[in-house]
Amino acid sequence: MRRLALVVLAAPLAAQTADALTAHLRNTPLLHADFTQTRHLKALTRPLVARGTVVVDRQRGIIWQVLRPLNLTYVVTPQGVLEVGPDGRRKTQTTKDAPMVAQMGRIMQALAEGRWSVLEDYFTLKAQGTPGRWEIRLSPKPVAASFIKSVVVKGGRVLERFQIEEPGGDHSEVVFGAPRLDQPLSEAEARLLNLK
Amino acid sequence: MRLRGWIWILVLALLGSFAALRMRSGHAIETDLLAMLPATERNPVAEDAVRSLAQASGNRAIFLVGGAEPERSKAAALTLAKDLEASQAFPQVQGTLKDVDPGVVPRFYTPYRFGLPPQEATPDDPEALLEHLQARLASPQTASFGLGLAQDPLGQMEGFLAQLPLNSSRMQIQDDLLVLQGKDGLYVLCTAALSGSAFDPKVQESTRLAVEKAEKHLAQAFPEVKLLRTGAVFYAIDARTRAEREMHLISGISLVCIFLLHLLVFRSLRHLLLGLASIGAGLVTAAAVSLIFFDKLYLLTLVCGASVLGDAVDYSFLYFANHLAYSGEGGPPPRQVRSSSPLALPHAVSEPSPDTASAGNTWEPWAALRRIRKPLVHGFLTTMLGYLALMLAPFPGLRQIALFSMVGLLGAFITLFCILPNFLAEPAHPRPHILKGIRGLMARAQSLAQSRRVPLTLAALALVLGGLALRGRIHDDVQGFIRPSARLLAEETRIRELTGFSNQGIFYLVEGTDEAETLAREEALVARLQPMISQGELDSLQAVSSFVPSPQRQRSELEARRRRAPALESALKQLGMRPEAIQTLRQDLAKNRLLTVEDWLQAPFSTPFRHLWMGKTNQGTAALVVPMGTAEGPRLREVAQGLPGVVLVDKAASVSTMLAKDRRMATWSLGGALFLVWGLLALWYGPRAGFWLIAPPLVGILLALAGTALVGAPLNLFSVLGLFLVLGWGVDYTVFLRGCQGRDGAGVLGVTLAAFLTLVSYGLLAFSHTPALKGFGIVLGWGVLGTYLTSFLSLRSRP
Repeated sequence: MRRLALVVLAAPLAAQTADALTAHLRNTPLLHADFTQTRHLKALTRPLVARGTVVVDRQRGIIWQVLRPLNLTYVVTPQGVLEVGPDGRRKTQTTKDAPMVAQMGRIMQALAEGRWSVLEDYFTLKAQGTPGRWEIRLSPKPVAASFIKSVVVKGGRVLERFQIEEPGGDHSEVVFGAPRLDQPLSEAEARLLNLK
Repeated sequence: MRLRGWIWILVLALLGSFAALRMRSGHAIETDLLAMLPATERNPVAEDAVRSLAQASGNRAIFLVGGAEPERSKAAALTLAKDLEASQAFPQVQGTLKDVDPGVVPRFYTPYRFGLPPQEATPDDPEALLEHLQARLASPQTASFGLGLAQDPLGQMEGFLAQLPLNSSRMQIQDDLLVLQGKDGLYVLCTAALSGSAFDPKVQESTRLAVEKAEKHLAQAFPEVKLLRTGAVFYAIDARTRAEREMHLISGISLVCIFLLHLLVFRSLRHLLLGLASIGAGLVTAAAVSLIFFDKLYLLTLVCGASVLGDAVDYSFLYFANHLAYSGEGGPPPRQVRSSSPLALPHAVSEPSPDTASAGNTWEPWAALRRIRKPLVHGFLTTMLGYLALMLAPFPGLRQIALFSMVGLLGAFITLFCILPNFLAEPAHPRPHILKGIRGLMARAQSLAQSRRVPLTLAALALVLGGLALRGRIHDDVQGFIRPSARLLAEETRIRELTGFSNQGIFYLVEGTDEAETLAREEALVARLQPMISQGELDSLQAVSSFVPSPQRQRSELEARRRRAPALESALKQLGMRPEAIQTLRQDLAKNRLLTVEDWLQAPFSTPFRHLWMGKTNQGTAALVVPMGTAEGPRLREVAQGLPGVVLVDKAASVSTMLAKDRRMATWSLGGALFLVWGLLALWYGPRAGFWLIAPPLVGILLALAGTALVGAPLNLFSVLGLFLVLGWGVDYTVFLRGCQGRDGAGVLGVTLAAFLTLVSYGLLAFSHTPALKGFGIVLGWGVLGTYLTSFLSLRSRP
């Protein structure tokens, strides 16, 4: 009973708690890491695995570089989105052209930086743990319910794992590894973040 | 009383009860100012389209609540929504989006998805397809906004859904609210559906009360938050309250003047009552007859009608002036006038009239009326000629004003001839001082009229006034007809800036023989407009074909998908898709249905766009395409050049063009009317006297033009129409003056009273906030002044 009361009391504080738990994420100006994304789709007989590296620049944006099974680069910045296909073909969409893309970009950036309050328009948040080991559970509000069932984000000093469940039964997981906080931005990466 | 008097009273009673009955039914007054305008489009379907678009955007009130502090804006918007809902004035208030399910649209399109054209081309061979699929699945975009791999493997439907013009790109959802980011803060959208037409006075009243109350509450609870509003209902309320205020003001001041003039000049309640009776008879006939010919009375007619008061009383003024003048000449007792008074003016010019001699010194009401019958009839006929010109304008509103005024004058005229003399058997209270003054004025006028310097002075005056008049600027904009309050316009402009909604009533009308052709023609148009969106000239487009592709397009897309199905299946197999999933996909493709407009119209989410589809018309099938953005009419017209079945409809521009055309036409007919009136006067009085009778109104017209230029007002159709009235009434004055120029001075008194009242009641229109009336007022004020001041010329007997 006492625990229930605590939960009720804690609910409105969830976003603040989540933000507090992960405050150190926002103090990281630049992060390089490896990732493994595994998708379990009901229509497929086997999971799909993609591996690559991710760069999170707090000011300029995110570079999502898939290396296997094929080469693909996605750059998400406040100005727009750049996609480089396996054949090297580039596609740029500015925020103005594609508001949907811009919205996705904002969400991704917010997730990477632990700015949870941005997500409150779409999700209700529940946070637990300590800054060294935290877990945040996002349940969709009605506007997002037909697209997503739940999101769980786990981490410690840095972001470690996303688990996403879709309403149809599909689910996927992104695991981050080998975080590098001191690796500088390469020239190529800087160019990409300028959408060039 | 004579028989005709009784008959006229009976007719008036019948007309009065008819008018009262119609007025009480509540549907006799039209508050939609646009309804006064004639059809401007050659295509009748375009007029229907204008109406349906106005209705679609007119049946709701739109609010934006905003301030620097986002949380406060949101709270304020919720408060507003709650207040509006509580007022019960609106059947539906949309403040929050709690019940909105974004899955509705994808679910609707699923059975038709293989015929919906995607935004991007997809590769053809299995190898490339596999890579495409892998790339899609490796993208960081975690959840799909479409149907997922099993139902929409290449995300083609997702692309189709993304291009739907469902929401303004600038709107976002936050806390279940639709919000917009402005430079000065966050704005929250709230819309309220009206309980009826925006032009229904009952709807207007309940809306006004509800919004005023909510606004007051908002100002108290959130003083720093701004409330912006727009919607036809606010414009209608604005126009109606203003017109009513002006109508009350003008009729009030006119009535006060009428009271004062009667009481001060005639010192008798009898004259006042008779004057009011002739005005009342005029108004009753005017309202009743107008309601026979027109379904509804326009607000402007009533405002103008208030001024007809001042005109209808002119005839009785002339008669009363005669009453006063002739009673003073020594009628039966009570006689209080000194016979030695210098009232008897020498006959400077005397027309050979048997009446003058037979009038003797006694007041005989019917004989007196007979004596002034000629100038009265002549004046009445020339005034009718002026109004008749208004009747010829292809403008329902002006026709009604003209009919209303003509019938009103006729009513007053008949009342004068049938009723008034019955109640004026007794001589008038003698007013020696007034008569003395008037006769002095008459003597001055007569000597002035004979002056040698008249022709030269007149020519110089005409030259100066003509020169001034040339400085006037012509401006035929629709704004010269209706101009909403600055505050409403500013709020609407702000809302447009924030939302990107720009509905200036410009749209494309697309027509074809059937649904398929209309949709295909729309697609051709949309293809031309698309580049304007990427270049920022347009914000978005609303078109049914964005929701329902043409059947041709759906069929060719479906064929292409069926042709490529084997390649896709093999790629999916390589990716690891289960055979049963592939099987389902194959079945879905086989039973894919073609989407029709009817299907779409049945879906609730099409509600805000249904007005775009006009459906079957007399000449085929029609639809609207509404461009939103900053691009203007000429550019939009140019883009659609040469497309079959597509026309740009720009109502405001059409109205401006029409106003210009009608102004030119009216100017020519004014010239024609001048000649016609001069011809009539020449026929009645001889060509030379005819010239001196029409010269004062000509000076009045020149002064009106010069005055309009001096106050910086624009010249437009309404000014020219005002000039017709200057001509009509000006000739009244000169004919009255010349016709009653005997020793009595009654003409001078009658004309002075009439001109004074006209100047006051019509001159007041110059301060109206409705541009059309303002132009009228300026022209009439200056015109009547100029005519009155030079009316002595009509007494000139020399060339």
